[in-house]
Formats: sequence, C-alpha cells, structure tokens
Amino acid sequence: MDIVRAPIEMEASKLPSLTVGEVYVDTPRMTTRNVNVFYGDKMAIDNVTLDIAEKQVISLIGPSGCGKSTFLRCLNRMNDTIESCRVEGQIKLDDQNIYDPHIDVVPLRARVGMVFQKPNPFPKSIYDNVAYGPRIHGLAGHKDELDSIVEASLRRAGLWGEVANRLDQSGTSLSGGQQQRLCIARAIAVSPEVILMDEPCSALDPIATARIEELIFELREEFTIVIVTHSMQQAARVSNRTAYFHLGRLVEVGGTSEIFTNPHHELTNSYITGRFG
Amino acid sequence: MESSPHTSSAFDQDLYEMSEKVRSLANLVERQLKAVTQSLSTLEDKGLDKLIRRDKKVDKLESEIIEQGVQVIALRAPLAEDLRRVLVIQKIATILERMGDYARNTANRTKVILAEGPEAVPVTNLQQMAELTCEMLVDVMAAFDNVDAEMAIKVRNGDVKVDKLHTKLHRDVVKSAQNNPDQIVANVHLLFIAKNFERIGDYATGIAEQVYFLANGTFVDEFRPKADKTSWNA
Repeated sequence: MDIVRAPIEMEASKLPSLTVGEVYVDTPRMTTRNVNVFYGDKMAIDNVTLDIAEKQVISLIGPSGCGKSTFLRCLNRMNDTIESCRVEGQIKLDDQNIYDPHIDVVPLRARVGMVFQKPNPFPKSIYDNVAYGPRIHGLAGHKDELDSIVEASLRRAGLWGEVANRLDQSGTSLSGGQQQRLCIARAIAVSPEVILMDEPCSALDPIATARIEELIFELREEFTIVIVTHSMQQAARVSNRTAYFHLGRLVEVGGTSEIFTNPHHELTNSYITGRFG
Repeated sequence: MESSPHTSSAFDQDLYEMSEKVRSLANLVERQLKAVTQSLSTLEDKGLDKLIRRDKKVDKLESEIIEQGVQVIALRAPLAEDLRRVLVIQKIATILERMGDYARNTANRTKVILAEGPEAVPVTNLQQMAELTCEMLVDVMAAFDNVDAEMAIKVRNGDVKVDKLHTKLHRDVVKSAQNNPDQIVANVHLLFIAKNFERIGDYATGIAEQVYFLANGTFVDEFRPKADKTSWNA
C-alpha cells in the first residue's frame, strides 16, 4: 500500500481560523487570551485562547514542536528563564494577570507548581526535598508543623508507605517512579492551586506510570492539573478535557472522550489515529 | 473526514483485512439467504443440507473477525474513526452471524414443509419478503463500503416494506391453516420462516445503524418506522 504524506505546508493550510470546540468553561482557574509566544523571530504559539477549569485535568497533546510545552511553561512563567522568549496576550490565575510586571514569580510558581519530564529530586534527603518549599515560603511555624506537611504531602503522593522509615536517605536513592512521586510531593507541599506536568511519565516503566496516573486521578479532587503528554492513552485515561496543538495553534479542545472517539477537526483525527506526527 | 494512511502501514493492513473479512461474511450470508429463498420459492430442495452445513463457515468467519478485532484493539490501541471501524466491524460480524442462523433455521423448517407436502402453503409473499431482505443486506453493505450514512438510513427506513409484507403473509398463513387443517404443521413452520425474514430485515437495520455510527460518531435516533402488526392484527 503506497503512503502519500502531506507536506507541512499542506497541513498548515488545514489549520482552522478559530479553535474547534469550547475553549471557555464555567469555572476557570486560569484563563489565557490571544497568547502569542516568540523565540526570537520565530513564532512558537499563535493566538491561543483557552480556559483551564478548576479541579479538572486538561491534557495538551500534539506532535513534537507543536508548542504544547511552550504553552504549558507560559502558565507559571517558566519561559522567563529563556532570554529570547517573548510572551504576548493575557494569562490570568483567577483574576490576576501573571505577566503583570509587579508579579513576583517565586510565589506565582508556588501557586502554579511544576513537575518535569525527568524526575529531578534535589540532592538532599527525602524529607528535605519535600520540606524545601514550605521552608522557603514560610508555611511552617515550627518543626512539628513541617513534619505534618511532609507526611501529608508524601501520603497524598502515595509515597509515604515506601519511605516513612527512611526519610533521611537521599531522594536520588529512590527508583525513577518513586523520584517522580517525590517531585509531585514536593510540588504539592506548598499547596499549589495548579500543577503543571510536562510529560511526567515519559521516563517511567508501565507500573510506575500507572501509579502516577492513579495519583493524578486522585489529585484532581484537590488541584487543577495541566499535563503535556505524548501518550494518547495517558491523556485519555487521566484527563477531563483534551486540547490538540498543531504548528503553534490550538486546533481543537473538548471533552476527552469526545476528542478520542469523535474528533471534529481533520488534523486532530489524523494525529490521534496515528496518520502523522 | 478524509482518511490518509497510518504512519504504521501494518495498522492499515489490519483494518483492511478486517473490512475484507466482514465483506466476505456478508457475501456468504447473502449466498445462504439466496439459497434458502430458492428452495422456498420453488418448493424443491435445492441443496438445503449443504446450506445447513455451510453455516459453520459463517460462525468461523465471525469468530475470526472478533478475534482479529480484539488483537487490533490490544496491539494498535485504535482511536476515533479507527476505533469505531473496529467496533462496528465486530458488531456487524455478530449481526451477520445471527442472520446466518436464521437462514439455517429457515432451511431446516423448509425441509419439514417439503416433507409435509407443501401444496397449500402460500409462499408468494414470502419469496418477495426474502428477496427484499436480501436486497437490504446488499445495500447496507454497500453503505458500509462507502461509509455512507445517508444510504444506510434509506435501508433502515426500507424495513417498513418487510414489516408490511410480514403482516400480510401472517394473515395469509393463518387463513391457509384454517382452510387446510391437515397442513397445520407446514403452515406453522411457514409462520416461523416469515418471522425469520422479518428479523433478518431488523438485523439489516441494525447494520445500517452501525454504518451511521461509523460515519458520524453518533448514534442514530432511536425512532425507526415499523409496520409489523402481526401480534394484534392477525
């Protein structure tokens, strides 16, 4: 069977002028309006408007280079660390514009925490990894209070049972899956409102992945979660809504079951059925 | 929505094979229906035993399709239109297998009618009904081939004609049974055969509904025109 591939410019011609699906929600925790992102002269995100619903999981999917991670990193200003990066448009956490020049990014990143692709525990003890955030943000008045936060965070991350008797050991001594749960415990220790996850399971085996996914499922009762994933099945399993990015544009957004059973835009359909990407 | 090939050509091959197999199954069931219709309309045994034995092929092909669908789901994790295609093919295969069962059952009953001496059984409308259901099967599989929801709905709505013929045939058979009490056994079997074809028509509408789902990703409205009044108007 001959395979004829559509050249990139043909795919670009298929991009919709407006995002397909409902970009707005009734109870948004974060709102983004007409967001453009540039790396130097190159436009990485093109006019993206999207609401992030409170206490829901939204998956950002799309082929490599589509801008999903760039968009994710805009949500807590992680792109500030990249000198050539410029963000336009408006991104709000509740009613606060997070790109307001008066905003201090340190407390912002406590409110909008992040878990990265590769587990990155600090070279400190398991206890100190989790206690680090509450300490620098002054969330605990005394040792007992800090102990409680550490225990509660490790419990919520499903790790307490495995590390309770070795809290003084290095975080880097844990397995990959445990390290990633430690990073999640570290993120939730400062009681964030939103957790951003950038391919959090890509370095993990299927069992460790399943545990993280189960954790995401539980955490959505308390937190708003935005996850970038290359795994279609993962997006289908963990998220309430799914947003499909292509060439920097938000092509389609909708309920996860709708997107994976009956997507409306041709590009979404082609991507999720494995016809390109 | 037009479909280009998958990045994985083996996935395309799997889906192609499944589609081909369900077409083969439909052709086989069509052959069964035509064969039994021929025996019924001529009131002669035109290879009924062979037809009955051939039903095993129908069952086997259905199993193969279901098994392949399970494998595709497990190995390829299909989504969207691909997932719908796998599920729809499996469902159509199951429906076709049931149609095949009705053809076999009709063949068995036809043998009894022929043995009983079929002089007084009214088969004219039955032949028309059988041909109509066979046409429905052919048309609905063409709708499947072309993923044509409009054509599928046309087939679905056409079932009314089968229902009307069934109602009429039901009356004729009851009358025939009253007039020829010695042929009661043949007439009772004929009633069951009529019901078989009425059900085959229903199954064709079931395939039409699957084609609609394949094309649109949504289910067709529950309402379907019906005209089978045998239960209260005989």
